[in-house]
Amino acid sequence: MKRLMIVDDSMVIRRRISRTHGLDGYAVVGTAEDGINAIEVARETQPDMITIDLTMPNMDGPEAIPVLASLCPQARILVVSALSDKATAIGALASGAHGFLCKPFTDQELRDALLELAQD
Amino acid sequence: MFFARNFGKYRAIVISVAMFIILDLGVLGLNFYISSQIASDAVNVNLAGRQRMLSQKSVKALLDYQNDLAQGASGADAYQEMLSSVALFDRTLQAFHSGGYTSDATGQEIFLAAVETPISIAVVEESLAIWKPIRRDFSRLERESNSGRPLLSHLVDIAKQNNLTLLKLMNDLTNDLESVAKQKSDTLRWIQASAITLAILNFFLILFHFIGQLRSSDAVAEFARKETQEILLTVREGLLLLDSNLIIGSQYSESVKAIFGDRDFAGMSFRSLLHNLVVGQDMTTTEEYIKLLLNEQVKENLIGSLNPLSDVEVSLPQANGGYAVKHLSFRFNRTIEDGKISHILVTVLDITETVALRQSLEAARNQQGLHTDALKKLAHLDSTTLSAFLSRTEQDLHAINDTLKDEAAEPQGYNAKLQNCLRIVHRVKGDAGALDLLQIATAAHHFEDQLQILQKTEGLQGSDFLPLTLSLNDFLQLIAELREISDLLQNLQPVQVVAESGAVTTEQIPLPLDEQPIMRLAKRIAQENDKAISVTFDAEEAAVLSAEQRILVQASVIQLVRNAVVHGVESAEVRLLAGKPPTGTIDVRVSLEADGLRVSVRDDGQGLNLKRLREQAEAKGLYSREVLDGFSRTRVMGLIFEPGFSTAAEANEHAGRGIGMDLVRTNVNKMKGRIRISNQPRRYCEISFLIPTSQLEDSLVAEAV
Repeated sequence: MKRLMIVDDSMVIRRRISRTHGLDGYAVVGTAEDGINAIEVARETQPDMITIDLTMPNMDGPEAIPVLASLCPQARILVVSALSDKATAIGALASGAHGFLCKPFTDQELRDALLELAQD
Repeated sequence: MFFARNFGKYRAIVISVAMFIILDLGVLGLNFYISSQIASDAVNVNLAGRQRMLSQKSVKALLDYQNDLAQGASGADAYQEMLSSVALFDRTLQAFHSGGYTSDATGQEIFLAAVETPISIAVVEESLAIWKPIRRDFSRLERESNSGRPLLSHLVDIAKQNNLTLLKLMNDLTNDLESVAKQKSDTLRWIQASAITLAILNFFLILFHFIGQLRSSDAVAEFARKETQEILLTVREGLLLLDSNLIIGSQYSESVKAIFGDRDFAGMSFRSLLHNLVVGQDMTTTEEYIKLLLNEQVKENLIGSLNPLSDVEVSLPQANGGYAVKHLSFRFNRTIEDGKISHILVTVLDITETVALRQSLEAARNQQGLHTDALKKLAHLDSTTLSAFLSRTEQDLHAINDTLKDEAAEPQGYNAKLQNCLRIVHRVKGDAGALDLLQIATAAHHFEDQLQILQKTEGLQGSDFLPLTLSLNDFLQLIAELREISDLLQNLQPVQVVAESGAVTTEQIPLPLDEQPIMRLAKRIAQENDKAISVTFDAEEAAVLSAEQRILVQASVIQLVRNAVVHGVESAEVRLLAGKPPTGTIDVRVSLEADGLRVSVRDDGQGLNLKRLREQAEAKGLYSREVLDGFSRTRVMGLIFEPGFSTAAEANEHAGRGIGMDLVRTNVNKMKGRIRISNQPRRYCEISFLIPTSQLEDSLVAEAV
């Protein structure tokens, strides 16, 4: 069972991801609504997989990702964000994330992305 | 296994070379062996020759010694010579017989092997038989030197007697040994000749084999090269390879030249290739994106959407000296070598036409506004979720509005203000996307774009925010519209009821069309258009419709009512002038007929003006004058259902832009219905459609199941 953490300031998105059908191999071990919270939750739950938004209050995705990457080196990080600023997303990936999923997404797209991410 | 694995295609050459070496070593070894044999044979032949000489020398020394003594001399020299010759002859003959040491011409001790051929053996045996008594006599002479005159003459006699025989025997021995040596050197020559022949043969074998192999592999390589070349020459895409320093490789497709101009791109950096086409931050972002692809940790399949060059508009120089605006699409893919990322394959495609087509399609779709799919999406959303989302979005938009209006903000506070707005609108976009409300997502996206443009503007002024307020109003309007539809649809939501068995089932509760929202809408539109109307509503029979059909009918009726208010009913003044009551009447009726259910919307307005419809169609470029003249009355009236057709002089929210009559036709088609228009200019217009009984029965059966 993989341990999944969801980081997004939108309740709708957090619910949307945790209620995705067919994520049988995943257990949502934590959710966070900003970067600061995400770091705390990650430290406690040591997730294998993290989905994270880029635009969030207090501490945004690009700031949080390098910290999360060093805190949970085993975790694969999926940036889940809208395509408004590709440069920011590219920067976020360069700083330690592994993949990008564009909002809005379907269940299938999310499943495929997590599957791809889990591969070595 | 090891061999095949390590040498592969070079196996043949390795075998050939190994054979060559083995052959040569064999020949060399044999050569060495035989040569050494020949050398020792030469020694034998020499020694055998010396025996001839020694036999004569001994006899001569013996005779000299006798002569010296007879003349009274001491004869010591001759005596010594005789003794040494006899001793050497004896030693050598013994060695020839059974092997042993003797001294050679230089006085060195050498080993002599016993002779081996039958002739030599016989000769040596015979020589020994003759020599042994003579040797005995010589020994006696040596022992009794001063008193042996009779012995001496006896010895001289014997020596003379046997001298020729011994000489002949030694001669025979020499000849035989010579012939043995000759035989061996013949063998050696023969072996050398055959070995050289074999070596030459092997050499030619290798030569022909490899020339053949080289030729065929050259042919394969040449074929592959030609194929690659042909692909690169003919492929429509611009193809090129980038190394890890983003330098272009030596091979690229001809289309690259067609797109970027006829230059040599090999060794050029990707940045220089796009010089003047992609500039500043975009170029840096592109390079960073390519570096992501070179980063093993990042999943190639999960970053495709971040490609900054998936659609770029560029001005490309043309042969005639001018510039052409083109849309280019770049794709970047990893190429893997030995499990490592070696290069990035860049595919460039001119998508100008595709983009133009897409834009015209989008424009057409936008003209049609909310289409059936969007309505369906709304209908399928959980009403509480939708309602909560709409309320929250409304609040968010008002919050943005308040922020924008806040004039107290200092110029240095503008950025914080923008940042705050961006964050809110971004969340709205995400939420809308998640709920599949693409219209709102798109609107949010556009709003976000505007905010971002402002963010990049230097020296912001309060007035720069003005256009934002306008967009925000449009946005709020959209939300209001959606809320209206959401209210309309709310009554169509499936209701969960507990059946008698106690099992929970989802069942449609038969409901007529929802009158209130339609009435409200009609009134609002009338008010906005400055018209007075009254609506009569008779839709009890709609209960036979399936849930899906009800959505379609309700949406169609809304559209027909809008249309009647905007296009049909005249303003109060015009109506009075035409002798009509100032308030227009719109009649909505759903009635069962013999062959189906008829839904009709009738207004007592100005009716359809056929002349104006024709003019409009011609002006819009839909049909030519000639074609339009050929149209029947019915066909001309049918024009109002064509996409993009509107007779409203000015586009406003409710007609001429928003929801097209086209939607009605689409909906009716879905129910396999037929549209009918009854029209009398200046008196009335009635648009109705009939849903055939077969469709109604289908839905009843479907519900029963």
